[in-house]
Amino acid sequence: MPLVSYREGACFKSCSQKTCLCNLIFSNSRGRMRKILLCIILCLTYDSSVMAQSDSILLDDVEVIASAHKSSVLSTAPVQYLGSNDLLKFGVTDISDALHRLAGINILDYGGTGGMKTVSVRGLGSQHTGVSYDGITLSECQNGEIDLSRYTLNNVGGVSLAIGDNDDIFIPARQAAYPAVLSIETLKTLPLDYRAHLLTEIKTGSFGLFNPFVKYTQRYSNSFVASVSSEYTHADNNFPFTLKNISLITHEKRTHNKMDSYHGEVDLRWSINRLSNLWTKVYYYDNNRLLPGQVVYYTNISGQSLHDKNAFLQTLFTTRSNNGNLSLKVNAKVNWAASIYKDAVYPGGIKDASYWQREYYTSASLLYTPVEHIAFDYSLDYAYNNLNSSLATDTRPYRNTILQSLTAKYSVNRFTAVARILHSVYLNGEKDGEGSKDMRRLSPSFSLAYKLLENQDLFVRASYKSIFRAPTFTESYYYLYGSRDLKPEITTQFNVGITWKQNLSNRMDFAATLDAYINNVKDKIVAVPYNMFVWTHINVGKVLVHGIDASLIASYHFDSQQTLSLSGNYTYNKCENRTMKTSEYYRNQLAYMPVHSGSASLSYENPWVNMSIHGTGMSMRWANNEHYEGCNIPGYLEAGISIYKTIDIGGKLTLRGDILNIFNKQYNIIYMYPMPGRSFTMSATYSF
Amino acid sequence: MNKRFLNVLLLAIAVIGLASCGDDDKYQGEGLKTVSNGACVVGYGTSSIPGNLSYIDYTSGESTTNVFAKANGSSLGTGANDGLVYGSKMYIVVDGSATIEVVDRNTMKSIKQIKTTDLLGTSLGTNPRHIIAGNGKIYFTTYHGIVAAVDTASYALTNKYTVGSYPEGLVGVGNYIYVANSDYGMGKGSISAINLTDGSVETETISGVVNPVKLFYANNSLYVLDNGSYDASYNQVGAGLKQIIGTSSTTLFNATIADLYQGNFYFVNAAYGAKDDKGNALVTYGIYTLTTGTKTAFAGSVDSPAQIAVDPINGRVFIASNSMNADNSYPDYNKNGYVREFTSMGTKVKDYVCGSSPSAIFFNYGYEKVN
Repeated sequence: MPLVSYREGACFKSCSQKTCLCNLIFSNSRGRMRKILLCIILCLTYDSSVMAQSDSILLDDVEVIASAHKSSVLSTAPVQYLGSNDLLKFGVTDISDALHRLAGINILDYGGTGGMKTVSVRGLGSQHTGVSYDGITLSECQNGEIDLSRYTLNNVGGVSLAIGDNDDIFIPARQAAYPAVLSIETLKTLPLDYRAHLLTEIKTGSFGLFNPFVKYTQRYSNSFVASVSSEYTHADNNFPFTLKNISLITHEKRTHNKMDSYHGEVDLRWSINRLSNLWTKVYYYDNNRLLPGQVVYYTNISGQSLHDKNAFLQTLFTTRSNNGNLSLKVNAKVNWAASIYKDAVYPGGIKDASYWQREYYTSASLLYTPVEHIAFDYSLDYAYNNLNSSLATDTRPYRNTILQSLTAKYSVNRFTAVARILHSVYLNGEKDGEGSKDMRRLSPSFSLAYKLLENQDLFVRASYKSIFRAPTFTESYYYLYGSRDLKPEITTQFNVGITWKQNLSNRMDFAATLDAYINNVKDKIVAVPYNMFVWTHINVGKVLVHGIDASLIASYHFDSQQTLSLSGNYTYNKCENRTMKTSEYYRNQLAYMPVHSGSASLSYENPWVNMSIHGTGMSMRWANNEHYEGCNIPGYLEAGISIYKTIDIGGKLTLRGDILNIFNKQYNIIYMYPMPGRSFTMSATYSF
Repeated sequence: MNKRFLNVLLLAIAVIGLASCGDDDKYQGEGLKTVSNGACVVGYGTSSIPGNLSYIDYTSGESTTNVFAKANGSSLGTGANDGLVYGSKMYIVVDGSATIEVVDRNTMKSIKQIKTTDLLGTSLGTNPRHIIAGNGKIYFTTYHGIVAAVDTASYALTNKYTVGSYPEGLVGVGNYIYVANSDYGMGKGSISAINLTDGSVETETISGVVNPVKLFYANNSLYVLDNGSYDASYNQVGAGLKQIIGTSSTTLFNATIADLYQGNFYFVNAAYGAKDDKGNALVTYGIYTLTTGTKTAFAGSVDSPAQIAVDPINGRVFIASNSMNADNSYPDYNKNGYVREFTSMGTKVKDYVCGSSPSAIFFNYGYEKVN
């Protein structure tokens, strides 16, 4: 009898990129000090994490987005950005769809609105992909996986992905501790007047989707802006799907899949003075969902439910010196999360498991620009995490993390180079035990970009990063033997790329990036069984990842009111097991990693009704690393269509309709977790 | 000590009509001889591999994997856990799918898929676990403390007995069925006795037995395989074959899997966490003879023992094993397992491929006319 069964940027508008931009813009301008000062002001104003300055709020969204596209070309390492306008223009329907539009990213989607969605970048695993929310990295010390299904797009101002270290150096040390960081930014609304501003949205669609959202923003003084947002999502998620059981084809319906979630945020932005800003955010999320579980042949009975709760308070203080060559950024965050899992099918609550985790985090970053062309950053982060659970084997593990990064950046007109050294200390303990091994490590990284031609936006870039992942608490302490002597999982990243941005005529422009990469993972943490029910974790795996990411965005302007835009990305990702040459699994593609994936969208903006068509797809994947016969998940291509119209009725009213998966393609991303077929959503957004 | 429970045990006399190996009453008689045609290996599968059935054909000496899927064009279901042959039919218990697949034992073609939730309702019918047959009925346990009796001709539910927590294996003894209630390893395991005459059920805890999973009956005595419990460092302790005397027990030998053949227990002890002097996993194999109370060494071994079974007709010994992962030398469930056949003293005869994660072995008996 089994005892327990195993189960289961903020910185894209980076300061330094702006410095680079400034150098381009102001390269012929006069005084050095003036130039640096201008650059820093621009940095701070462009930097998403700085707010409510009179100069920043004058910038309109279009400019910010345009600059972000520029930054993906200028950056020393791959950075991709989707702003709220892109999300609308290219018919992005939800967060998972948004992520499908970014090259190099692989989404594990358990299907439907309530299905868990995690990301991994270039085959490095979801535990090793950082996710930041309004400038501060989200933590998940239990299993290291951030479920992105909780982020609906109505409050998202932009999504960006930075792979490796780019030339944005004014960041917390924790962001430098990830091989890739996905950044989610909320909508930044900073009115200049003193009246109340309201943004409301109602979205509804197939399978019982109902998602109202309201955001209230008001400026109370010259220096103080407050906003409150609130959102509710209900979905039944009882979508039909086709189940293929060898040669038996049946038409089924997902059941026991209902969700009800609430999400609210309060933002307080205070411009203390000309040089200093404070932004405080309170966040609460509550999601009560039934889980249908994996599709099981011949029955659809499930008793699983999951209640997630998450509350945090984060505050961000920025200031700079009068002469502009010193900037300071201080973050602090208190985070609490609960995960209550129940399975009513098993008598006596035998499979029930509840976890509670907390984090206390603080970070300080100091940016120093002593002379033109050179900038230094020193960042110091401290975090305390702990976890307790309802498991009989719980030992209340905790971890103190101290991260320090020292970064230098050199930038002349056509050349930018960044070097960083990260020092990490992980001190582990358990209230009722000895704690897993402590870890200390130095991790270097370098990146550079060079503009090939004086008067063409054609850059080459190269980056190297050595980084590691400390085991999660689940890996160190649970299921069921603790693996307290686990070593860190080590990753070495190399990237070379070429980026090109060009106006071909005054009607046509495009930006394209092409990057080739190699990631070498050793001491990969792998779960291994003692038997079906008792598992442990060991450092055994070696993985070699190599691939290509390509992205293209092109626009053709018929006239001042009509534009045709094409956006696409493609990823080739060979992610091979290189553990043991003699093994039958040597060079097997890792489970759930497609070799080919990509997306394309075409949008037509015009004075009548804007529309876009878009498609995403990936090649076949294996459901396990062994490539067991029959465990291949077929590749798919799915397409959608989106139309929207914005009209002025005193405020701004946007009506939008979407047909998702228009050809009703039946596919899975995770084995036996079907994705919805053809469905519809409609939304009305009104703001004044 | 509960006297009535003790009496129940004393009353049980012989294995007639009910047996885990499923003698088919109507064919018993003059001019017939029982023969075993092969061994069936049930595979539980994994989260990415469906439950499966492999067949070792004694005549050809070869094994075939996925025989159910090949014969029917559809999968056995999710999480196949047990099976038996009774009469001309084979019954396979599919835990995750909540079905009992009734199959022609010669063609492997499905005759009927019994949905256990249709018989018992959603709240009692999920997770069927183990099965025995007799009196023209099959009897199976579900995780909801139920033993259900189903007529093998009409497939209708004829009786439903409420037993202890998380029942697993059962054994028929005369007019009684004894049930091992595992309590899902939480330490409060018990044994239930179902009186088939009046339908009454007695459930008792047995001292020294915490996680019973399988029962045997021999020489007027009941024996239980106890999976034990786990200490603070997750070492499996107290797993063994125990003789039940009233409501107490005597440990005969340490074991994690065992089968009984003509008064001899063939067993493997592969307790989690047990290590030898060099730090390698400690696994022992042996034979225990009931009449003498002695243990004899069993020479054979496998990589990752999962099941052991002895063909009651001809004494052929089979141990099913998971295959090992070449990358890390741990068991690999996403890979076909194998069954190693041994002579009665443990000399290896042959290896047969079976499906992923073998969960039960049973034998394909029939009756042959003799003149």
